[in-house]
Amino acid sequence: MSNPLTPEKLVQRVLDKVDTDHDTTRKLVQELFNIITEQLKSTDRMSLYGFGTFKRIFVEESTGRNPHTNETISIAAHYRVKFTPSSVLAHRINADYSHLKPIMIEDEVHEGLLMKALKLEQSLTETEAAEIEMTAVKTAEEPVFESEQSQKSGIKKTLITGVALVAIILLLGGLYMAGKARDSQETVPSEIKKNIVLQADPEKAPEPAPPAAEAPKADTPEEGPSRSYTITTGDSFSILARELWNNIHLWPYLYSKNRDAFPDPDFIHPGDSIIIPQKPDKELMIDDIESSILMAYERYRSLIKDQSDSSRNANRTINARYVIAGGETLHPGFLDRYKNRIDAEDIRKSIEMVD
Amino acid sequence: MNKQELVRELATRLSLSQKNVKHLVETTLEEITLIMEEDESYSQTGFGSFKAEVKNERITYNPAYRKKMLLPKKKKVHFRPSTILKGKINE
Repeated sequence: MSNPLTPEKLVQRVLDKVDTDHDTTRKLVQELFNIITEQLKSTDRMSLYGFGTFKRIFVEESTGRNPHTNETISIAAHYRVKFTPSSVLAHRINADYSHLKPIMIEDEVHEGLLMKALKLEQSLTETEAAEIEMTAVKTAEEPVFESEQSQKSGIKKTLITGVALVAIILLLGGLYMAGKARDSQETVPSEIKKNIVLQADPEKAPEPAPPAAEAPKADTPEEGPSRSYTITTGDSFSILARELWNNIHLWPYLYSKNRDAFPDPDFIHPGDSIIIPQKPDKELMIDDIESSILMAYERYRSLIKDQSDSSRNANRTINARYVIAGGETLHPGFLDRYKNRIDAEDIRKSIEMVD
Repeated sequence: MNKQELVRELATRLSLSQKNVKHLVETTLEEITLIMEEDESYSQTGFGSFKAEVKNERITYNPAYRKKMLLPKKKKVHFRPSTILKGKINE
């Protein structure tokens, strides 16, 4: 862009349109801006109809930082001048782009993923905190292990034991289920592991209790040993499925066992009691899992249909897609097999999610 | 101070008729607008500079709709006060 036009040029342009002498115009332009400055000083405000408003705004003292030297300096309280163009001026200036309008972004897939990650992170920290409380008392009885990690902070130590507890529960569960030991867990000193297993076993690891029931359970899963669980803050079917079974995509199966009590899969409240069935085997119970996924999907769809003006429908649509995307992840080909029961748009979106 | 009072004040200072002053003020402001429309900038000595700036499109979140919005590219008036003006109003 060229150099800014000077008052002299402005005067010339005004003179082309108005029949007056040069000196008067120059003085007038100068005086016009002098008056604006005076008004700003005396009344904090000067409004020119059809042009805009100049305002004097008070800025409180703040601290700034020199990005080169990292030096903190104090910026004294001062006034600044703000110019707000009138709507007429703003529209005239924006004439080139006035045909462009704000667009509402309907596709919330990206935001949905972020939100989901955030929720998971929150629930993780919550459960970890709860387990730290549990183990904190127990480690106090075992001073031997404290010396092992004495250089680490107390919080870090309890955190590690909390993680180890989760790891052990998962490990035991996995071992007992189909003999599929998951050895990808965190490496923790084995003495601590044993110690925690002994302590945690009676109260916190009910999954391994019925190990022999695997084969008959595949036929009649309802009769398999189930247990009751009371919802705490931050729980959801998906988070519970991830914690209990190490697989978030299995949550429709968990929900299918509780569907009568909870018509909306997204609404469970702290204090509610749900039934937690035995972990379904991904390979043996393929029909049960797939039908539960379809059930959850259709539950979402019917909720959207019944409550067509609900503000939750956007979320429900996304969740419905997550459900079937999970089905595709668990059993590749799921979407293809059930394409006559699933909306074509949802199939397309969920394939994108899987990818 | 509204425009009528401004015209009256200018007329007394320059000893001109209010009619002439009004016409001149309107034309001056119109010319500044035209300068900005022509993608030029205008700098008033001791006051500040006016310029039309192109702002790129950006994504915002509208909490009322709970939706993200794509705000289009647009041109905005940008006023940058001069150091002299800043000094004067902070006296």
